[in-house]
Amino acid sequence: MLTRVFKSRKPRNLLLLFEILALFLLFLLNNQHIDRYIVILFFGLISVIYISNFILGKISSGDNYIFLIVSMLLTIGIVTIYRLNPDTGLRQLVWALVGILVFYITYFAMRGIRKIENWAPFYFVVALLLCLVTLLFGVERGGARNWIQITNDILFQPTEFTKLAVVFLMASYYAKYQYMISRPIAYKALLPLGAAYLLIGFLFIQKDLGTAAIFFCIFSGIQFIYEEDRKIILLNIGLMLLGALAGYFLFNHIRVRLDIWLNPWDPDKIYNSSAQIVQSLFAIAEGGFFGTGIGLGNPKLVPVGISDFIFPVICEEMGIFAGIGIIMLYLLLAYRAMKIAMAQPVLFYRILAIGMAILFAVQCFLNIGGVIKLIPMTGLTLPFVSYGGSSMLSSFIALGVLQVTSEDLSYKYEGYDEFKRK
Amino acid sequence: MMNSKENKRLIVLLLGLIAMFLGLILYLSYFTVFEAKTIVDHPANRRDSIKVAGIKRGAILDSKGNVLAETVGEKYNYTRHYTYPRAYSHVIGYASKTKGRSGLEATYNDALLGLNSGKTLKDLQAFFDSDIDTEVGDNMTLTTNSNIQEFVRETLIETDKKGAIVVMNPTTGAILAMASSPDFNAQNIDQDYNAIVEQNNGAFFNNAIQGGYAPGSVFKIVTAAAILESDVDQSYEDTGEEVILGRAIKNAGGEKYGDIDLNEAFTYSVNTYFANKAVAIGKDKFTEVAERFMMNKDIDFDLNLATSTFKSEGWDQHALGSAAIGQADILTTPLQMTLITNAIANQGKIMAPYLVERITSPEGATIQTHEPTVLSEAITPENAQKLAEMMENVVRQGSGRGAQIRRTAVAGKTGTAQTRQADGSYNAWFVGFAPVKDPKVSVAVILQDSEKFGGEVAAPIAADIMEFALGELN
Repeated sequence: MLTRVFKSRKPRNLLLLFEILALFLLFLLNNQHIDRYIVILFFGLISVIYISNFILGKISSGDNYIFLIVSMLLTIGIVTIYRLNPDTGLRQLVWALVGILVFYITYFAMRGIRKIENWAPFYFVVALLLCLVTLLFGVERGGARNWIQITNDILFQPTEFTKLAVVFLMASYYAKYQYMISRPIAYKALLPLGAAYLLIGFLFIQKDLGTAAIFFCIFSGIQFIYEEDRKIILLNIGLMLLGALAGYFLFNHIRVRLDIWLNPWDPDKIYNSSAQIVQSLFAIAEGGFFGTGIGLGNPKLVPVGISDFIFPVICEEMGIFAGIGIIMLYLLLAYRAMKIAMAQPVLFYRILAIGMAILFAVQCFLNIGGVIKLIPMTGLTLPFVSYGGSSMLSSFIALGVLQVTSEDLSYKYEGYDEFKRK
Repeated sequence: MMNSKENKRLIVLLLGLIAMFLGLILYLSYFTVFEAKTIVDHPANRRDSIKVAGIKRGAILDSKGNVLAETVGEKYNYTRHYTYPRAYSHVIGYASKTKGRSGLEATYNDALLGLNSGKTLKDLQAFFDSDIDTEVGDNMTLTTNSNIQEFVRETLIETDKKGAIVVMNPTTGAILAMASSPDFNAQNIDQDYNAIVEQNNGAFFNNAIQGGYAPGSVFKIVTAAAILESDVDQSYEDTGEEVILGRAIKNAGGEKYGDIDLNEAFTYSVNTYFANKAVAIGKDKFTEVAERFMMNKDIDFDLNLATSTFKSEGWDQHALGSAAIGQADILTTPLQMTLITNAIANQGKIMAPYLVERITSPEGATIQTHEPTVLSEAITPENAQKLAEMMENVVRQGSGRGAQIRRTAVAGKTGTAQTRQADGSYNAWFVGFAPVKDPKVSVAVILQDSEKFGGEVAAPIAADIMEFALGELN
């Protein structure tokens, strides 16, 4: 049977094998007898992922690999979180379930609703409102004031969704809105620039540097491809440098982050401000290439190991080979998204796919680069892997969008030619 | 569809993203290969101490099975108990949660924590029976005899001098006792550590294996071996001083011995004779013989043994003459001098020194045992025989008469090395073995900053120890 699984041309069987092995190790670690939790986890995880991959293959004519990549990331995340704390692991499983549901809702909604490329002002208002709401009602958690408290237990992170609004905003502006401006404006190319920097400014005030960096990358990436006025790109780079300098001198928390990055081993900081990064490095170093094995490390020593710092936890017990595997999965995801963009004839959806590629890639880079001390820490989650409802939902919405863009959408456009650019 | 400009820019962007990911992978690999090893040892990494706190450290026993160190208490709250916290302070050392480890506790840390032995079967049993604790370290049996060890330590401390004593079995290389003064109390290390560091009088330093001493006249054993091997004329007319390159090497106490041969020169420790003959032998031959006695050689040992040096490269003839009487650029550890003595006692062969006889699992299965091995064939059995006779003469009628004991013939050599400090302050040495016909015990004694000669202070101590040790071993 095992050889059949290995020989199988369907990668989802290999995924199943990984899940069975990982769950067996978790069983050895936490349970000496079969209890409710592990059974729920076992059947929940396997059926959710296996079945949705199966269904998707039937209903979507688009790319079937991106969901599979995400399934692997999801599995690693849930297994790791369950290993740290079984209760949280099961909650993450529920979030994954809700996420997959949201994925299908997004998928069908995107397919059904027409003319969403015309709504640039709407996306801008949504992004602005989400920022304002955070600014007015936000509470501080983990150093950034970017959470909204709904009830005692439920916290909601609006910036996770602002990212998506920004992608839609940029896509609709460059695909449609710039041609819809009736009055000739002298510097219309400054419009998206102004919008992007306004949002980035809000994020700086909320101390949410990571999301600010993502906004900047999404904006700059799309601008790099579609801005016809190339001088604006230089202006963007100039503004970015200026903004970074201004941020450094204006905001203390930026200087602190930079200092932690440069001197984490300072004995004054090692047990307080730089404890996170130092413990993260210990975990990765202990794991080595092959890891200690699930259940044999001490990943609970890593602060916030279930969310921002989940990558070192994985590396400690599964080795940096698993870590590199995760990086490769994101690379594949970004590559598939770019490939989808190249094949997509409709400009708006093409830009959406590019935006999602940048979103996943940059967020992965900022998170992993931060925890391995390649770059300063920015406090971002690892999409699909880290614990967290907001992150999970927004990531699945992004994936749903990507799934739609991978399909032939010409049925939406009778006057299809008008959207072609030259 | 896409135009080519758009397509090109899209590919540039994709390459940019790929470069970003490759950056992550390369840095992660670099970190794991080059930085991880040093980072895990950082004191802020608590993994090691968490792991160690759950393991019942193995016991340490002496050659008769007496417990020297054991771990008592509940899991995660173990304490280490030492039966002879002072006598074995340098040999066994300490294993402290806060102050780290020293001695055999440090060298054999992995074995004592049971990290070396396979535990598959036991893990499997423990899986079905939660009463089985797999986290128990291996036990270790030493070569030492604790009665001798205590006697040696008491004797050394009573002299009130810094110094060291090594007692060995010359035919196997087993260490019977090893003491260094000053010492400390391994049981109270957590409380005493800071005070000991502050006093800074070398209590943590194991003089027996780390102390580098000018050997003085005890090194004449090596010089005499070199003379026996080369065909230089063994007769000499002593005038009380030997002038080499315009500078004189004199006899101790200004003695003049007239016409003497090697045997008489050795018995009365005649400096002029050895200085003269070393020059005749030449630097190369002398160095070769010294290196066969393991000078300049790193010796694998259970503790960190400093290398004894015979740095002859830049020597002129006067330095060579000084080296013949154990001065010049020669530094030896007391253990190294015991090994040189062992070569004479053991028909020219130096056995590898060792402290750990065997390591056994908690169930009693043997994991590792030490087989005596030959470290070096220093000289021929015939020359060893001749040197043994000369060393016997030293104790019978020469400078080492203080080392005589009842009913047993002792062979030995005294030494009194000038130290760099003041005149009238010496390193007093005695090395020897007994019984001469069937050596069972060899000993090296060194007392630092003594006002008296080796024959006066070190030899009687060696006699007491050999007599006690022979009594213990019978």
